[in-house]
Amino acid sequence: MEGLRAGGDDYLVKPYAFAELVARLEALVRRRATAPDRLRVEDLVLDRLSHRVTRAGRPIHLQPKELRLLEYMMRHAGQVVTRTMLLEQVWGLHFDPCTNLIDVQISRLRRKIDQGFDLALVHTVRGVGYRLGDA
Amino acid sequence: MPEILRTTAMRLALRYAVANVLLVGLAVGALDWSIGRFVDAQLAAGIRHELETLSSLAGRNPAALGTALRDRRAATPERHYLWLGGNGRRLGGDLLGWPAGLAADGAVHNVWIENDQVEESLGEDAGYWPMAALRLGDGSRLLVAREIRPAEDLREFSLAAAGIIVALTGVLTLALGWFLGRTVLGRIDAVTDTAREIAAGRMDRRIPVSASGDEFDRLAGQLNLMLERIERLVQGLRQVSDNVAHDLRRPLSRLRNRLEVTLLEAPDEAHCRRAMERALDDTGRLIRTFNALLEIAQAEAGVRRGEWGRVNLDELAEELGSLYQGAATDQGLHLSLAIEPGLAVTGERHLLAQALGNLLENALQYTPPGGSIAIRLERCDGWVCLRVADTGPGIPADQRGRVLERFVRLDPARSSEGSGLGLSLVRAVADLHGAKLQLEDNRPGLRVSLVFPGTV
Repeated sequence: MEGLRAGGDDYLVKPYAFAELVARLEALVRRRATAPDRLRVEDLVLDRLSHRVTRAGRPIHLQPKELRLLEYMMRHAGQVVTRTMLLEQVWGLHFDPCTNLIDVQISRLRRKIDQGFDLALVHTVRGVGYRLGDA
Repeated sequence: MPEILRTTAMRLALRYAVANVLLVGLAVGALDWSIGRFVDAQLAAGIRHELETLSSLAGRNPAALGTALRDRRAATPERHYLWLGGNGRRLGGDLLGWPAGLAADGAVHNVWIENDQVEESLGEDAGYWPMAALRLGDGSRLLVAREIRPAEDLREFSLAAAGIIVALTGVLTLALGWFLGRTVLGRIDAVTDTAREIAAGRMDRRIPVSASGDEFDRLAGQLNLMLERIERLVQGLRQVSDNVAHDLRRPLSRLRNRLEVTLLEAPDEAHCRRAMERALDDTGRLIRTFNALLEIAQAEAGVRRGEWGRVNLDELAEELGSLYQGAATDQGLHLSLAIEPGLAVTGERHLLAQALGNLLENALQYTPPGGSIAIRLERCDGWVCLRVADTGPGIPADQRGRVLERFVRLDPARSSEGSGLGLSLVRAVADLHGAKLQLEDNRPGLRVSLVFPGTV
Protein backbone atom coordinates (compact mmCIF):
# COMPACT_ATOMS: atom_id res chain seq x y z
CA MET A 1 0.00 0.00 0.00
CA GLU A 2 2.82 2.37 0.84
CA GLY A 3 4.43 1.36 -2.42
CA LEU A 4 1.25 2.26 -4.29
CA ARG A 5 1.06 5.65 -2.59
CA ALA A 6 4.70 6.31 -3.26
CA GLY A 7 3.93 6.21 -6.97
CA GLY A 8 3.79 2.54 -7.89
CA ASP A 9 0.95 1.71 -10.27
CA ASP A 10 0.41 -1.83 -9.11
CA TYR A 11 2.06 -4.45 -7.01
CA LEU A 12 2.39 -8.17 -6.73
CA VAL A 13 2.97 -10.22 -3.64
CA LYS A 14 5.49 -13.01 -3.87
CA PRO A 15 5.19 -15.76 -4.90
CA TYR A 16 3.55 -14.67 -8.12
CA ALA A 17 3.02 -16.39 -11.40
CA PHE A 18 5.09 -15.06 -14.24
CA ALA A 19 1.98 -14.88 -16.43
CA GLU A 20 0.39 -12.68 -13.80
CA LEU A 21 3.33 -10.32 -13.91
CA VAL A 22 3.27 -10.12 -17.70
CA ALA A 23 -0.47 -9.54 -17.74
CA ARG A 24 -0.22 -6.75 -15.23
CA LEU A 25 2.66 -5.11 -17.05
CA GLU A 26 0.70 -5.18 -20.29
CA ALA A 27 -2.29 -3.72 -18.53
CA LEU A 28 -0.12 -0.91 -17.21
CA VAL A 29 1.42 -0.24 -20.60
CA ARG A 30 -1.97 -0.03 -22.23
CA ARG A 31 -3.53 2.07 -19.50
CA ARG A 32 -4.83 5.31 -20.89
CA ALA A 33 -5.07 8.55 -18.99
CA THR A 34 -8.81 8.65 -19.65
CA ALA A 35 -10.92 5.82 -20.92
CA PRO A 36 -13.16 6.68 -23.86
CA ASP A 37 -16.88 6.95 -23.20
CA ARG A 38 -17.67 4.22 -25.69
CA LEU A 39 -15.77 0.98 -25.65
CA ARG A 40 -15.89 -1.25 -28.69
CA VAL A 41 -14.57 -4.72 -29.31
CA GLU A 42 -15.63 -6.11 -32.68
CA ASP A 43 -19.39 -5.70 -32.72
CA LEU A 44 -19.70 -5.41 -28.95
CA VAL A 45 -20.26 -1.84 -27.73
CA LEU A 46 -20.39 -0.55 -24.16
CA ASP A 47 -21.57 2.97 -23.47
CA ARG A 48 -19.98 4.00 -20.19
CA LEU A 49 -22.35 6.96 -19.75
CA SER A 50 -25.68 5.24 -20.29
CA HIS A 51 -24.43 1.84 -19.07
CA ARG A 52 -25.89 0.21 -22.14
CA VAL A 53 -24.35 -2.77 -23.86
CA THR A 54 -25.18 -3.88 -27.35
CA ARG A 55 -23.84 -6.59 -29.56
CA ALA A 56 -24.45 -6.24 -33.27
CA GLY A 57 -27.04 -3.65 -32.33
CA ARG A 58 -28.90 -6.02 -30.03
CA PRO A 59 -29.14 -4.77 -26.45
CA ILE A 60 -27.76 -7.01 -23.73
CA HIS A 61 -28.96 -6.69 -20.16
CA LEU A 62 -26.22 -6.97 -17.54
CA GLN A 63 -26.10 -6.81 -13.75
CA PRO A 64 -23.97 -3.97 -12.31
CA LYS A 65 -21.10 -6.31 -11.41
CA GLU A 66 -21.26 -7.97 -14.82
CA LEU A 67 -21.12 -4.54 -16.38
CA ARG A 68 -18.00 -3.66 -14.43
CA LEU A 69 -16.45 -6.98 -15.33
CA LEU A 70 -17.16 -6.47 -19.00
CA GLU A 71 -15.91 -2.88 -18.88
CA TYR A 72 -12.67 -3.97 -17.32
CA MET A 73 -12.20 -6.71 -19.89
CA MET A 74 -13.05 -4.40 -22.78
CA ARG A 75 -10.58 -1.84 -21.55
CA HIS A 76 -8.01 -4.57 -21.63
CA ALA A 77 -9.27 -6.15 -24.83
CA GLY A 78 -6.80 -8.45 -26.49
CA GLN A 79 -4.80 -8.87 -23.27
CA VAL A 80 -4.90 -11.70 -20.84
CA VAL A 81 -6.47 -10.71 -17.54
CA THR A 82 -5.90 -13.02 -14.57
CA ARG A 83 -8.49 -14.08 -12.04
CA THR A 84 -6.80 -12.19 -9.23
CA MET A 85 -6.69 -9.05 -11.37
CA LEU A 86 -10.43 -9.31 -11.95
CA LEU A 87 -11.10 -9.96 -8.29
CA GLU A 88 -9.10 -6.92 -7.30
CA GLN A 89 -10.21 -4.52 -9.98
CA VAL A 90 -13.88 -5.47 -10.31
CA TRP A 91 -14.75 -6.63 -6.80
CA GLY A 92 -12.11 -4.73 -4.88
CA LEU A 93 -11.19 -7.89 -3.05
CA HIS A 94 -7.65 -8.80 -2.27
CA PHE A 95 -7.79 -12.47 -1.61
CA ASP A 96 -7.20 -15.87 -2.94
CA PRO A 97 -10.33 -17.91 -3.54
CA CYS A 98 -10.06 -21.64 -3.95
CA THR A 99 -13.29 -22.22 -5.79
CA ASN A 100 -13.88 -21.18 -9.34
CA LEU A 101 -15.65 -17.95 -8.40
CA ILE A 102 -14.35 -15.91 -11.26
CA ASP A 103 -14.91 -18.76 -13.71
CA VAL A 104 -18.57 -18.78 -12.74
CA GLN A 105 -18.87 -15.03 -13.19
CA ILE A 106 -17.09 -15.19 -16.52
CA SER A 107 -19.22 -18.04 -17.79
CA ARG A 108 -22.37 -16.04 -16.95
CA LEU A 109 -21.01 -13.08 -18.82
CA ARG A 110 -20.00 -15.33 -21.69
CA ARG A 111 -23.52 -16.74 -21.92
CA LYS A 112 -24.97 -13.26 -22.19
CA ILE A 113 -22.46 -11.96 -24.69
CA ASP A 114 -21.51 -14.88 -26.87
CA GLN A 115 -24.68 -16.98 -26.94
CA GLY A 116 -26.28 -16.79 -30.30
CA PHE A 117 -23.26 -15.31 -32.04
CA ASP A 118 -20.84 -17.11 -34.27
CA LEU A 119 -17.82 -15.24 -33.06
CA ALA A 120 -16.87 -15.96 -29.45
CA LEU A 121 -15.35 -12.95 -27.74
CA VAL A 122 -14.60 -14.31 -24.26
CA HIS A 123 -11.70 -16.73 -24.31
CA THR A 124 -10.25 -18.81 -21.54
CA VAL A 125 -6.46 -18.93 -21.34
CA ARG A 126 -5.86 -22.08 -19.40
CA GLY A 127 -3.89 -21.74 -16.24
CA VAL A 128 -3.68 -17.98 -16.58
CA GLY A 129 -6.96 -16.19 -17.04
CA TYR A 130 -9.17 -14.74 -19.74
CA ARG A 131 -8.97 -12.64 -22.83
CA LEU A 132 -11.61 -10.62 -24.59
CA GLY A 133 -11.36 -10.28 -28.33
CA ASP A 134 -11.50 -12.22 -31.55
CA ALA A 135 -9.85 -15.60 -31.93
CA MET B 1 37.58 -19.62 47.07
CA PRO B 2 38.31 -17.72 43.82
CA GLU B 3 34.86 -18.91 42.67
CA ILE B 4 33.26 -17.36 45.74
CA LEU B 5 35.20 -14.13 45.23
CA ARG B 6 33.58 -13.80 41.82
CA THR B 7 30.06 -13.74 43.27
CA THR B 8 28.18 -10.52 43.73
CA ALA B 9 27.31 -11.51 47.31
CA MET B 10 30.95 -11.91 48.27
CA ARG B 11 31.98 -8.67 46.63
CA LEU B 12 29.19 -6.89 48.47
CA ALA B 13 30.24 -8.60 51.73
CA LEU B 14 33.82 -7.46 51.25
CA ARG B 15 32.67 -3.91 50.74
CA TYR B 16 30.45 -4.14 53.81
CA ALA B 17 33.31 -5.58 55.82
CA VAL B 18 35.60 -2.69 54.92
CA ALA B 19 32.87 -0.14 55.67
CA ASN B 20 31.98 -1.89 58.95
CA VAL B 21 35.59 -2.00 60.09
CA LEU B 22 36.02 1.69 59.30
CA LEU B 23 32.82 2.65 61.12
CA VAL B 24 33.46 0.49 64.16
CA GLY B 25 37.08 1.73 64.31
CA LEU B 26 35.88 5.31 64.13
CA ALA B 27 33.32 4.73 66.89
CA VAL B 28 35.80 2.96 69.17
CA GLY B 29 38.40 5.67 68.51
CA ALA B 30 35.96 8.45 69.38
CA LEU B 31 34.95 6.60 72.54
CA ASP B 32 38.58 6.13 73.53
CA TRP B 33 39.37 9.77 72.88
CA SER B 34 36.44 11.03 74.94
CA ILE B 35 37.26 8.63 77.79
CA GLY B 36 40.86 9.91 77.75
CA ARG B 37 39.66 13.51 77.85
CA PHE B 38 37.38 12.69 80.77
CA VAL B 39 40.12 10.89 82.70
CA ASP B 40 42.56 13.76 82.04
CA ALA B 41 40.03 16.31 83.32
CA GLN B 42 39.36 14.20 86.41
CA LEU B 43 43.09 13.87 87.12
CA ALA B 44 43.68 17.58 86.62
CA ALA B 45 40.81 18.50 88.95
CA GLY B 46 42.17 16.08 91.58
CA ILE B 47 45.68 17.55 91.33
CA ARG B 48 44.40 21.14 91.60
CA HIS B 49 42.24 20.25 94.56
CA GLU B 50 45.14 18.51 96.31
CA LEU B 51 47.44 21.46 95.65
CA GLU B 52 44.89 23.93 97.06
CA THR B 53 44.29 21.78 100.18
CA LEU B 54 48.01 21.45 100.87
CA SER B 55 48.82 25.11 100.23
CA SER B 56 46.06 26.28 102.58
CA LEU B 57 47.38 23.77 105.17
CA ALA B 58 50.89 25.23 104.73
CA GLY B 59 49.46 28.73 105.20
CA ARG B 60 47.94 27.74 108.53
CA ASN B 61 50.68 25.46 109.86
CA PRO B 62 53.81 25.21 107.70
CA ALA B 63 55.39 22.72 110.08
CA ALA B 64 52.66 20.13 109.47
CA LEU B 65 53.19 20.02 105.68
CA GLY B 66 56.07 17.56 105.79
CA THR B 67 54.08 15.07 107.83
CA ALA B 68 51.03 15.58 105.69
CA LEU B 69 53.02 14.83 102.55
CA ARG B 70 54.37 11.60 104.01
CA ASP B 71 50.90 10.52 105.13
CA ARG B 72 49.42 11.24 101.78
CA ARG B 73 52.19 9.42 99.93
CA ALA B 74 51.47 6.37 102.01
CA ALA B 75 47.71 6.58 101.47
CA THR B 76 47.81 7.24 97.70
CA PRO B 77 50.88 5.68 96.09
CA GLU B 78 50.01 7.08 92.66
CA ARG B 79 50.44 10.61 93.99
CA HIS B 80 53.85 12.18 94.12
CA TYR B 81 54.97 15.40 95.81
CA LEU B 82 57.89 17.76 96.02
CA TRP B 83 58.37 20.60 98.52
CA LEU B 84 61.34 22.78 97.80
CA GLY B 85 62.49 25.52 100.12
CA GLY B 86 63.30 29.02 98.95
CA ASN B 87 66.98 28.07 98.86
CA GLY B 88 66.24 25.09 96.60
CA ARG B 89 66.60 22.48 99.35
CA ARG B 90 64.20 19.58 99.33
CA LEU B 91 61.93 19.86 102.38
CA GLY B 92 59.58 16.94 101.62
CA GLY B 93 57.99 14.71 98.97
CA ASP B 94 59.36 11.86 96.93
CA LEU B 95 60.37 13.59 93.68
CA LEU B 96 64.11 13.96 93.66
CA GLY B 97 64.34 17.23 91.72
CA TRP B 98 62.26 20.00 90.26
CA PRO B 99 61.23 19.06 86.70
CA ALA B 100 62.87 21.35 84.18
CA GLY B 101 60.70 24.13 82.81
CA LEU B 102 57.76 23.63 85.19
CA ALA B 103 56.31 26.95 86.31
CA ALA B 104 54.77 27.24 89.77
CA ASP B 105 51.57 28.81 88.35
CA GLY B 106 48.95 26.42 89.77
CA ALA B 107 48.00 25.14 86.29
CA VAL B 108 48.19 21.44 85.35
CA HIS B 109 51.00 20.53 82.93
CA ASN B 110 52.07 17.23 81.46
CA VAL B 111 55.72 16.71 82.17
CA TRP B 112 57.99 13.86 81.12
CA ILE B 113 59.30 12.07 84.19
CA GLU B 114 62.08 9.48 84.11
CA ASN B 115 62.16 6.68 86.62
CA ASP B 116 65.27 8.05 88.31
CA GLN B 117 63.52 11.31 89.09
CA VAL B 118 61.32 9.63 91.69
CA GLU B 119 62.14 7.74 94.92
CA GLU B 120 59.60 5.09 94.17
CA SER B 121 56.96 4.69 91.42
CA LEU B 122 54.31 2.09 90.68
CA GLY B 123 55.37 1.29 87.19
CA GLU B 124 58.74 0.91 85.60
CA ASP B 125 58.37 3.08 82.53
CA ALA B 126 58.91 6.75 82.17
CA GLY B 127 55.95 8.85 81.00
CA TYR B 128 54.08 12.09 80.96
CA TRP B 129 52.70 12.88 84.38
CA PRO B 130 50.13 15.60 84.92
CA MET B 131 51.35 17.94 87.64
CA ALA B 132 50.82 21.40 89.10
CA ALA B 133 52.96 23.59 91.37
CA LEU B 134 52.45 26.68 93.59
CA ARG B 135 54.79 29.09 95.30
CA LEU B 136 53.91 29.20 99.02
CA GLY B 137 53.93 32.29 101.25
CA ASP B 138 57.41 31.56 102.73
CA GLY B 139 59.01 31.39 99.28
CA SER B 140 59.03 27.60 99.12
CA ARG B 141 57.47 25.75 96.19
CA LEU B 142 55.02 22.84 96.40
CA LEU B 143 54.46 20.36 93.51
CA VAL B 144 51.71 17.77 93.21
CA ALA B 145 51.95 15.12 90.48
CA ARG B 146 50.02 12.07 89.65
CA GLU B 147 51.39 8.99 88.16
CA ILE B 148 49.03 7.90 85.40
CA ARG B 149 50.11 4.31 85.08
CA PRO B 150 46.66 2.87 86.02
CA ALA B 151 44.96 5.22 83.56
CA GLU B 152 47.46 4.25 80.87
CA ASP B 153 46.73 0.60 81.52
CA LEU B 154 43.02 1.25 81.08
CA ARG B 155 43.79 2.99 77.85
CA GLU B 156 45.86 0.12 76.58
CA PHE B 157 43.15 -2.31 77.56
CA SER B 158 40.45 -0.33 75.79
CA LEU B 159 42.62 -0.06 72.67
CA ALA B 160 43.09 -3.82 72.65
CA ALA B 161 39.37 -4.30 73.06
CA ALA B 162 38.74 -1.91 70.20
CA GLY B 163 41.16 -3.84 68.03
CA ILE B 164 39.41 -7.11 68.84
CA ILE B 165 36.00 -5.60 68.13
CA VAL B 166 37.16 -4.24 64.76
CA ALA B 167 38.79 -7.52 63.78
CA LEU B 168 35.75 -9.53 64.83
CA THR B 169 33.48 -7.22 62.85
CA GLY B 170 35.58 -7.73 59.78
CA VAL B 171 35.75 -11.49 60.14
CA LEU B 172 32.05 -11.86 60.92
CA THR B 173 30.98 -9.70 57.99
CA LEU B 174 33.20 -11.67 55.65
CA ALA B 175 31.86 -14.94 57.01
CA LEU B 176 28.31 -13.74 56.50
CA GLY B 177 29.19 -12.69 52.97
CA TRP B 178 30.74 -16.06 52.28
CA PHE B 179 27.67 -17.85 53.63
CA LEU B 180 25.30 -15.64 51.63
CA GLY B 181 27.50 -16.07 48.60
CA ARG B 182 27.33 -19.83 49.00
CA THR B 183 23.52 -19.91 49.23
CA VAL B 184 22.92 -17.34 46.49
CA LEU B 185 25.56 -18.96 44.33
CA GLY B 186 23.92 -22.33 44.82
CA ARG B 187 20.53 -21.10 43.71
CA ILE B 188 21.86 -19.09 40.80
CA ASP B 189 23.85 -22.11 39.77
CA ALA B 190 20.65 -24.14 39.68
CA VAL B 191 19.21 -21.61 37.20
CA THR B 192 22.42 -21.63 35.19
CA ASP B 193 22.49 -25.42 35.06
CA THR B 194 18.87 -25.56 33.91
CA ALA B 195 19.51 -22.94 31.26
CA ARG B 196 22.52 -24.88 30.04
CA GLU B 197 20.50 -28.09 29.77
CA ILE B 198 17.72 -26.31 27.89
CA ALA B 199 20.25 -24.76 25.55
CA ALA B 200 21.54 -28.28 24.96
CA GLY B 201 18.09 -29.25 23.70
CA ARG B 202 16.31 -30.63 26.76
CA MET B 203 13.28 -28.39 26.54
CA ASP B 204 11.46 -30.21 29.35
CA ARG B 205 13.94 -29.10 32.07
CA ARG B 206 12.63 -26.70 34.71
CA ILE B 207 14.28 -24.60 37.41
CA PRO B 208 13.83 -26.13 40.89
CA VAL B 209 11.50 -24.08 43.12
CA SER B 210 11.87 -24.32 46.90
CA ALA B 211 8.93 -24.02 49.25
CA SER B 212 10.00 -20.72 50.80
CA GLY B 213 8.41 -18.53 48.12
CA ASP B 214 11.19 -15.94 48.22
CA GLU B 215 12.44 -13.78 45.37
CA PHE B 216 14.37 -16.68 43.89
CA ASP B 217 11.26 -18.86 43.88
CA ARG B 218 9.23 -16.12 42.27
CA LEU B 219 11.90 -15.66 39.63
CA ALA B 220 12.15 -19.40 39.07
CA GLY B 221 8.35 -19.65 38.83
CA GLN B 222 8.17 -16.92 36.21
CA LEU B 223 11.06 -18.38 34.25
CA ASN B 224 9.38 -21.80 34.34
CA LEU B 225 6.14 -20.30 33.05
CA MET B 226 8.07 -18.66 30.25
CA LEU B 227 9.82 -21.92 29.44
CA GLU B 228 6.49 -23.72 29.36
CA ARG B 229 5.09 -21.21 26.88
CA ILE B 230 8.19 -21.37 24.74
CA GLU B 231 8.06 -25.14 24.74
CA ARG B 232 4.41 -25.10 23.69
CA LEU B 233 5.18 -22.64 20.89
CA VAL B 234 8.15 -24.64 19.71
CA GLN B 235 6.11 -27.82 19.72
CA GLY B 236 3.33 -26.10 17.81
CA LEU B 237 5.84 -24.79 15.32
CA ARG B 238 7.42 -28.20 14.93
CA GLN B 239 4.02 -29.76 14.35
CA VAL B 240 3.17 -27.11 11.78
CA SER B 241 6.40 -27.59 9.89
CA ASP B 242 5.91 -31.36 10.00
CA ASN B 243 2.45 -30.88 8.58
CA VAL B 244 3.71 -28.46 5.97
CA ALA B 245 6.32 -30.94 4.86
CA HIS B 246 3.81 -33.77 4.80
CA ASP B 247 1.00 -31.90 3.08
CA LEU B 248 3.17 -30.31 0.46
CA ARG B 249 5.12 -33.42 -0.41
CA ARG B 250 2.08 -35.22 -1.74
CA PRO B 251 0.99 -32.66 -4.35
CA LEU B 252 4.61 -32.03 -5.29
CA SER B 253 5.30 -35.70 -5.94
CA ARG B 254 2.03 -35.96 -7.86
CA LEU B 255 3.13 -33.04 -10.00
CA ARG B 256 6.51 -34.62 -10.51
CA ASN B 257 4.94 -37.97 -11.48
CA ARG B 258 2.67 -36.30 -13.97
CA LEU B 259 5.57 -34.49 -15.61
CA GLU B 260 7.69 -37.63 -15.65
CA VAL B 261 4.98 -39.71 -17.26
CA THR B 262 4.37 -37.03 -19.84
CA LEU B 263 8.06 -36.87 -20.62
CA LEU B 264 8.37 -40.68 -20.88
CA GLU B 265 5.34 -41.20 -23.06
CA ALA B 266 6.38 -38.30 -25.29
CA PRO B 267 2.89 -37.76 -26.64
CA ASP B 268 1.79 -35.24 -29.21
CA GLU B 269 1.67 -31.53 -28.67
CA ALA B 270 -1.96 -31.46 -27.55
CA HIS B 271 -1.20 -33.98 -24.81
CA CYS B 272 1.81 -31.99 -23.74
CA ARG B 273 -0.25 -28.85 -23.54
CA ARG B 274 -2.87 -30.54 -21.40
CA ALA B 275 -0.22 -31.95 -19.10
CA MET B 276 1.35 -28.54 -18.77
CA GLU B 277 -1.97 -26.94 -18.01
CA ARG B 278 -2.66 -29.48 -15.32
CA ALA B 279 0.83 -28.99 -13.91
CA LEU B 280 0.12 -25.27 -13.84
CA ASP B 281 -3.07 -25.94 -11.88
CA ASP B 282 -1.11 -28.08 -9.43
CA THR B 283 1.50 -25.40 -8.86
CA GLY B 284 -1.26 -22.85 -8.46
CA ARG B 285 -2.76 -24.95 -5.69
CA LEU B 286 0.64 -25.29 -4.03
CA ILE B 287 1.20 -21.58 -4.15
CA ARG B 288 -2.27 -21.05 -2.69
CA THR B 289 -1.38 -23.33 0.20
CA PHE B 290 1.82 -21.40 0.80
CA ASN B 291 -0.06 -18.13 0.60
CA ALA B 292 -2.58 -19.37 3.11
CA LEU B 293 0.19 -20.44 5.48
CA LEU B 294 1.88 -17.08 5.09
CA GLU B 295 -1.35 -15.26 5.67
CA ILE B 296 -2.06 -17.28 8.82
CA ALA B 297 1.43 -16.60 10.09
CA GLN B 298 1.06 -12.90 9.37
CA ALA B 299 -2.35 -12.71 10.96
CA GLU B 300 -1.08 -14.61 14.00
CA ALA B 301 1.98 -12.42 14.29
CA GLY B 302 -0.19 -9.33 13.88
CA VAL B 303 1.81 -8.15 10.89
CA ARG B 304 -0.53 -5.93 8.95
CA ARG B 305 0.24 -6.07 5.33
CA GLY B 306 -2.44 -3.63 4.38
CA GLU B 307 -4.26 -0.89 6.14
CA TRP B 308 -5.73 -1.24 9.58
CA GLY B 309 -8.89 0.78 9.81
CA ARG B 310 -12.64 0.89 9.69
CA VAL B 311 -14.09 -1.89 7.60
CA ASN B 312 -17.75 -1.76 6.62
CA LEU B 313 -18.70 -5.37 7.21
CA ASP B 314 -22.10 -4.89 5.64
CA GLU B 315 -20.57 -3.87 2.32
CA LEU B 316 -17.96 -6.58 2.52
CA ALA B 317 -20.54 -9.28 3.23
CA GLU B 318 -22.74 -7.99 0.41
CA GLU B 319 -19.82 -7.98 -1.98
CA LEU B 320 -18.70 -11.48 -1.13
CA GLY B 321 -22.27 -12.74 -1.01
CA SER B 322 -22.93 -11.55 -4.53
CA LEU B 323 -19.60 -12.95 -5.68
CA TYR B 324 -20.36 -16.41 -4.34
CA GLN B 325 -24.00 -16.30 -5.43
CA GLY B 326 -23.16 -17.51 -8.90
CA ALA B 327 -21.03 -20.40 -7.74
CA ALA B 328 -23.70 -21.42 -5.25
CA THR B 329 -26.42 -21.38 -7.86
CA ASP B 330 -24.27 -23.48 -10.18
CA GLN B 331 -23.93 -26.11 -7.44
CA GLY B 332 -27.68 -26.16 -6.85
CA LEU B 333 -27.37 -24.34 -3.55
CA HIS B 334 -29.45 -21.49 -2.29
CA LEU B 335 -27.39 -18.64 -0.85
CA SER B 336 -29.29 -16.08 1.19
CA LEU B 337 -28.10 -12.80 2.64
CA ALA B 338 -29.55 -11.08 5.71
CA ILE B 339 -27.44 -8.04 6.36
CA GLU B 340 -28.09 -5.29 8.85
CA PRO B 341 -26.75 -2.09 7.30
CA GLY B 342 -24.25 0.21 8.96
CA LEU B 343 -22.22 -2.37 10.84
CA ALA B 344 -18.49 -1.83 10.83
CA VAL B 345 -15.48 -3.17 12.68
CA THR B 346 -11.91 -2.02 13.05
CA GLY B 347 -9.59 -4.29 11.16
CA GLU B 348 -7.94 -5.28 7.96
CA ARG B 349 -10.32 -5.52 5.02
CA HIS B 350 -8.24 -7.96 3.04
CA LEU B 351 -7.92 -10.43 5.92
CA LEU B 352 -11.59 -10.14 6.82
CA ALA B 353 -12.54 -10.78 3.19
CA GLN B 354 -10.29 -13.82 3.13
CA ALA B 355 -11.81 -15.16 6.35
CA LEU B 356 -15.39 -14.74 5.15
CA GLY B 357 -14.39 -16.15 1.76
CA ASN B 358 -12.95 -19.23 3.46
CA LEU B 359 -16.15 -19.75 5.43
CA LEU B 360 -18.23 -19.46 2.26
CA GLU B 361 -15.94 -21.80 0.38
CA ASN B 362 -16.20 -24.40 3.12
CA ALA B 363 -19.97 -24.08 2.99
CA LEU B 364 -19.99 -24.43 -0.80
CA GLN B 365 -17.69 -27.41 -0.66
CA TYR B 366 -19.45 -29.40 2.00
CA THR B 367 -23.12 -28.61 1.42
CA PRO B 368 -24.77 -31.15 -0.87
CA PRO B 369 -26.89 -29.90 -3.81
CA GLY B 370 -30.32 -28.68 -2.80
CA GLY B 371 -29.03 -27.30 0.47
CA SER B 372 -28.81 -23.71 1.51
CA ILE B 373 -26.20 -21.31 2.80
CA ALA B 374 -27.07 -18.23 4.82
CA ILE B 375 -24.91 -15.19 5.49
CA ARG B 376 -26.18 -13.16 8.37
CA LEU B 377 -24.76 -9.92 9.73
CA GLU B 378 -26.41 -8.38 12.77
CA ARG B 379 -25.85 -6.56 15.99
CA CYS B 380 -26.11 -8.72 19.08
CA ASP B 381 -25.57 -7.45 22.63
CA GLY B 382 -23.36 -4.62 21.46
CA TRP B 383 -21.24 -6.97 19.39
CA VAL B 384 -21.21 -7.41 15.64
CA CYS B 385 -22.06 -10.98 14.66
CA LEU B 386 -21.19 -12.34 11.26
CA ARG B 387 -22.62 -15.80 10.70
CA VAL B 388 -22.30 -18.29 7.89
CA ALA B 389 -24.66 -21.24 8.23
CA ASP B 390 -25.03 -24.20 5.91
CA THR B 391 -27.05 -27.39 5.75
CA GLY B 392 -24.08 -29.64 5.14
CA PRO B 393 -22.87 -32.51 7.34
CA GLY B 394 -21.65 -30.15 10.09
CA ILE B 395 -18.80 -30.85 12.46
CA PRO B 396 -19.18 -33.16 15.47
CA ALA B 397 -18.95 -31.22 18.74
CA ASP B 398 -15.76 -32.99 19.83
CA GLN B 399 -14.01 -32.14 16.58
CA ARG B 400 -14.79 -28.42 16.55
CA GLY B 401 -11.59 -27.41 18.34
CA ARG B 402 -9.45 -29.64 16.18
CA VAL B 403 -10.59 -28.33 12.82
CA LEU B 404 -9.16 -24.91 13.70
CA GLU B 405 -5.66 -26.35 13.63
CA ARG B 406 -3.58 -26.20 10.52
CA PHE B 407 -3.96 -29.02 7.97
CA VAL B 408 -6.65 -30.77 9.98
CA ARG B 409 -9.36 -32.15 7.70
CA LEU B 410 -12.12 -34.37 8.87
CA ASP B 411 -12.50 -36.17 5.59
CA PRO B 412 -10.02 -39.01 6.25
CA ALA B 413 -9.62 -39.91 2.61
CA ARG B 414 -9.02 -36.27 1.74
CA SER B 415 -10.97 -36.92 -1.39
CA SER B 416 -12.30 -33.40 -1.60
CA GLU B 417 -10.04 -30.60 -2.59
CA GLY B 418 -8.72 -28.29 0.12
CA SER B 419 -5.67 -27.63 2.17
CA GLY B 420 -7.11 -27.85 5.67
CA LEU B 421 -5.98 -24.30 6.26
CA GLY B 422 -9.26 -22.43 5.74
CA LEU B 423 -10.52 -22.43 9.31
CA SER B 424 -7.01 -21.94 10.68
CA LEU B 425 -6.87 -18.65 8.83
CA VAL B 426 -10.35 -17.73 10.03
CA ARG B 427 -9.25 -18.33 13.59
CA ALA B 428 -6.03 -16.33 13.14
CA VAL B 429 -8.00 -13.44 11.64
CA ALA B 430 -10.54 -13.64 14.45
CA ASP B 431 -7.78 -13.57 17.07
CA LEU B 432 -6.11 -10.64 15.37
CA HIS B 433 -9.37 -8.69 15.43
CA GLY B 434 -10.22 -9.62 18.99
CA ALA B 435 -13.23 -11.54 17.70
CA LYS B 436 -14.70 -14.74 19.06
CA LEU B 437 -14.98 -17.66 16.67
CA GLN B 438 -17.84 -20.01 17.42
CA LEU B 439 -18.68 -23.26 15.68
CA GLU B 440 -22.20 -24.44 16.37
CA ASP B 441 -24.70 -26.97 15.23
CA ASN B 442 -27.09 -25.55 12.64
CA ARG B 443 -29.40 -28.58 12.89
CA PRO B 444 -28.53 -29.80 10.37
CA GLY B 445 -25.23 -28.37 9.23
CA LEU B 446 -22.65 -26.02 10.56
CA ARG B 447 -23.01 -22.48 11.77
CA VAL B 448 -19.84 -20.45 12.15
CA SER B 449 -20.06 -17.14 13.99
CA LEU B 450 -17.50 -14.39 14.13
CA VAL B 451 -18.38 -12.08 16.98
CA PHE B 452 -16.54 -8.76 16.74
CA PRO B 453 -16.29 -5.96 19.23
CA GLY B 454 -18.21 -3.51 17.05
CA THR B 455 -17.62 0.12 16.19
CA VAL B 456 -20.41 2.57 15.46
